[in-house]
Amino acid sequence: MLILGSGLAVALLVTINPFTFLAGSVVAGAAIVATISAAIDAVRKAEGFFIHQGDWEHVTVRLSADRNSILGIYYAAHEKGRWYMQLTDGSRNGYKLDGDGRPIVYSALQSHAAYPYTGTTTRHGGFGNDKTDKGTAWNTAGAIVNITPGAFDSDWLKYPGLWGRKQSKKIDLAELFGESVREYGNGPIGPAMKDCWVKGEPDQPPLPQPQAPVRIDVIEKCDGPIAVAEYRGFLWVAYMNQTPMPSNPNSCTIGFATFNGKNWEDQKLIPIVNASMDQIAMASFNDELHLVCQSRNTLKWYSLALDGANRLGQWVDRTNSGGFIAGNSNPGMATTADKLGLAYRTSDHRLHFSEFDGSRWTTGPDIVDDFTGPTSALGVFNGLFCYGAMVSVQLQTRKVEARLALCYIDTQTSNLSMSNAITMLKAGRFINDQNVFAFTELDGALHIVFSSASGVVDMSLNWARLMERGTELPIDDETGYVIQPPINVGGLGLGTMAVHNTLWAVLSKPPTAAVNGSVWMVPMPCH
Amino acid sequence: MSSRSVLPKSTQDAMLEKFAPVVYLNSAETSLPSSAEWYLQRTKLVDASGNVISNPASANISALGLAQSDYRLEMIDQTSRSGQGVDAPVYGFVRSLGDPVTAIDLTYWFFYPFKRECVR
Repeated sequence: MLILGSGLAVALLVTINPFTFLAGSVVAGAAIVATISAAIDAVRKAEGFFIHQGDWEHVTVRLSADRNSILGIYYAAHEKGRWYMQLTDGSRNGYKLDGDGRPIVYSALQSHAAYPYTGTTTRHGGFGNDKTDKGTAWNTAGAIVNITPGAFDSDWLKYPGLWGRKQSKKIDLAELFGESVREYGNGPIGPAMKDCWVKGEPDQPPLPQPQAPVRIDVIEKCDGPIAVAEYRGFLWVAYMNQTPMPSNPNSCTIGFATFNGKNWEDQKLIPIVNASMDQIAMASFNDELHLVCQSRNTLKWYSLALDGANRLGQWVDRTNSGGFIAGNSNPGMATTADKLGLAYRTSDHRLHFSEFDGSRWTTGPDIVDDFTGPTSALGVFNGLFCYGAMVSVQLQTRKVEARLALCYIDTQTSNLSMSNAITMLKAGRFINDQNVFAFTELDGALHIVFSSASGVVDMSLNWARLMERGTELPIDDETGYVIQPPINVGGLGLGTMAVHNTLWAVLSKPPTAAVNGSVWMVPMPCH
Repeated sequence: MSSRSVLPKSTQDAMLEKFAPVVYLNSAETSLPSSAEWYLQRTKLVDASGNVISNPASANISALGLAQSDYRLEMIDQTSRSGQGVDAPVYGFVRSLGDPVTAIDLTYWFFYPFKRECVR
């Protein structure tokens, strides 16, 4: 299989126009772009490019030990493939069976890569897309030759050489555009010579993913950021509402709703004069619920202490007490065994961290950080405060992608950087103000829910977990699950919290002309 | 492979048959599948120096003691690119996973004489 990477563009540049060797200056940037475009157009006009004689493709059906059910189907495509699950949501993540329970495979035009769906699969940024449709059916029932060792002893299965001509040693454009030679890739080796013959497919099919019984609970006038906290056995959701109180045109309100694991209960509003539609933070500590929000350009601190079983207590403005230092924006709160932590930014955009011990706030030195993302959150992992930020990273290819960075707040060194991150997760495209995430600790693992956006689809909700208390294991991007069925995040806020041992992602969706703002409850697949 | 992981051939055949896939080629496809034998009849076996060794269809190619990639098959006539058609066989491979067995993989191998990654 021939792998097309950025090396191709380089080869084209070097060969097609010797002047590009000299075009290293900024001034010549436009010329380079024009040259690349011309080269790509030329290749597109050519009959074909990545071509070779001989083409072994495969799919693998994984059955349960009792042979009765399909655990997943691996569809190979080019140098790799992927497992598809049993899904009926019409997404591209599910395998397809016909009425007889036989796998349906769509073989891509000319490349013969296997997919369970029809349509276009973008590859190499559109340069080598795979196209599938429902053309001629190749019904293989009755035409299976069993080549399992012991069942078959054909000569060709043991042939160790290539099944097609060998690749030309250099890519020569004159040869490419000439009529004489059009095969460039090596022919493949036979099935029994491939790694997967001995080792099996890479990875495992993902665990059966829960068909998340997504709750879409409409909370009237929820049209802004949210914060969540667990307090007295309830999941509390605080949400912004832009509609001013009739008595004060400069007010916003923050609404609260409680969720007992099954149903929503009391909803209350508190007006906050001059509140800004900015991030809000909430955490419970010392049997009180604490909330920090932004009003104009300062942070305000409120707390709620409930009286017995009554969940209708009064919020108290404590901004001017306990040595609370009002920062300016981006509050994040979390609680350890004996401290309430608050991360926030000041007007100079510096990150600060304060701890509340129940009577006084203590603020450490300025924290030097290189996180510039629009959202931030504070959590606790292994008993330590952990700060998270969605940051934009410029790749060598000049593409900008989002990364979710999580690192412990070390108030001794006052230094936070991406290089100190205990994990970095890829989150696709960076979309200002729309990459959302939240994390919470449950059963010794840090559970991270985040949005990611690919080039073509809307933002989707993902879940990953950082395992093993006491040791930090980097999360492989591949271990993140896309929550099924796919949920278009595109929202204003996200929070996670465990209530009665179920981890919920709480997502606020902005109102549209047709629908009120709503709160989505998505149970995570960890239980 | 230990004996515990080898199912009787009749069981393998039945499983492979039960889950035999339906493959939809693209409606514009011009490079159809073929059997391995069909392809071998239309290729020559060439060594690293470009010398034609034999017609692989008639030679015992596994007995040549070849090291991987030392040898290659080359199409004799480029019209073989179009392949045999959808009456071509599919090659099935059964593998048991785990001890005791936790899952069984059925791998279906498809062969096409010619491949091209589309750029249009």
